[in-house]
Amino acid sequence: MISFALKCNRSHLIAKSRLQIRSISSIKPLLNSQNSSPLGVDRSIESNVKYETNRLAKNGKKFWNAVTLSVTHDKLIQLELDGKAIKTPLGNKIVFDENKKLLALLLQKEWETIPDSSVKQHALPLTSLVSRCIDLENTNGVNGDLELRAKIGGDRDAINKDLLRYLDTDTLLVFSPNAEYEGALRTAQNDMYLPIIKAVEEYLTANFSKDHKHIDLRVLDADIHGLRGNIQNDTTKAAATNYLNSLSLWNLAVFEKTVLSTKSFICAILLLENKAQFNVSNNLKYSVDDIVRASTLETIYQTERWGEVEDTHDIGKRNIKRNVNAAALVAFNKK
Amino acid sequence: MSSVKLHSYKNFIKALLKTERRGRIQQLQNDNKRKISIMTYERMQIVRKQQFTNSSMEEQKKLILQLNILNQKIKSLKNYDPSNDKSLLFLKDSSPFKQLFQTDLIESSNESLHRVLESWKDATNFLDNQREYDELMELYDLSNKFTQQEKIKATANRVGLDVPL
Repeated sequence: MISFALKCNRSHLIAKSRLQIRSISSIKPLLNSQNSSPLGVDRSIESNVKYETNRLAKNGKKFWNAVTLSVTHDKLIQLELDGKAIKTPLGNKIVFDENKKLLALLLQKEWETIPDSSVKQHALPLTSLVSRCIDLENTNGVNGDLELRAKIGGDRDAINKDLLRYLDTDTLLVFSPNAEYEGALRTAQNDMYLPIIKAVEEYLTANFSKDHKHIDLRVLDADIHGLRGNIQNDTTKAAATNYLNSLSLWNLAVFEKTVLSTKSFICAILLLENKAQFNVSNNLKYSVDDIVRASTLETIYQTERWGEVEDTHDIGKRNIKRNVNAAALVAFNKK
Repeated sequence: MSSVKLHSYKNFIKALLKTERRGRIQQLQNDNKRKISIMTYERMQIVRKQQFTNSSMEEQKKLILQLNILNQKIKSLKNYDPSNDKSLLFLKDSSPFKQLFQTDLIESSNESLHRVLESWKDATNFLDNQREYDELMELYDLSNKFTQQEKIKATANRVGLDVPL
């Protein structure tokens, strides 16, 4: 009996450890689960060959002297190292519209100030976002390569589906209980979120709803609903999908970046409306600071009460600000 | 109105300067390190030559002279601190930004001015937050600071060995 139990135990142990190994190898990020490596790092075996073009990704060492900007014959700005165009992870040249001059100068600065011992991908936020924009445009274009599109998780429908999930539990749709922080947080949320929600509902109803059916965003109020999930109804989902499909691929990449850093679909709508569109209606006018504040309102009240945790809140705060500001710069259209 | 424009431009340039300065200090430090290691290698070579007893007195003298010069150079390189460098208090080249300021802000029409000003503010905020983020990451994540080469060296040192140059 005892030996049986031991055997059982052992086999159980083995099974457990096997399971664990399997579970580690099968952990995948939620969004676009096909590619798990960071931008620009292709870890597959067949690509482990050094070329002139992937020298940076392979060596991580600075090899150029000058970073320059040039204007191509079709009036696009091109970013160059020693006269050769910088390429995105998929090998497309970094070129974009001339009216994004400030972005171009900042990209140049970003490459100029790299400490030359090693180049880290995460240290180039603007470049990685612009690369994503360009790669999405190219893989979804007329002669887009299906395989490459799958490789960068660039399928539009898949992106839409992943992004729509953020609208269900949007940061701006979740309200904290009245009792917390003597009602201060709830008051701030009401003051800030309710007008935004109303404006976004109107905006979606007017422009993207089928037969102008009224869009009603479903909120999650901790006092009334307690603990439950939140799911938007089909009309809202359809309108939101229409909205996503109306975006250019460049803006879709910016939208994605904003959603991932603010955890809010609504914040991303606000950002694009203010930066990419020229005529924005008055009740949708918000600055980047407002957008960041809206998405971190709860943390602001938490740190006010309990203090900042080193290595967590200070980094998180700057991380979201740098990401949203970068997204705003990449989206910005002068005209 | 022009004071608002100038103000936002100044803030932007300040943020840009801080970012550039940080990057350039790191570049200069790395450069310095590389130079020192090359010179240390040269010095080793000279010491090795000195150990050949069959060389003449004159050659020995020459080697000692070379050694002294190298030692001095290494000393001065080791004393060099790029964070005290006055030239890093100015932007390397601010003319493209000045030009953009001219076309973007001074000559822009009134309707678009507000949006353009906002975009310059976004750029300032981006630069500031990016720099602070990098600084904090460096502060908290020590492994981030070292290059792969330095990590290998540290590992070797831990067991009492050293890596060749």
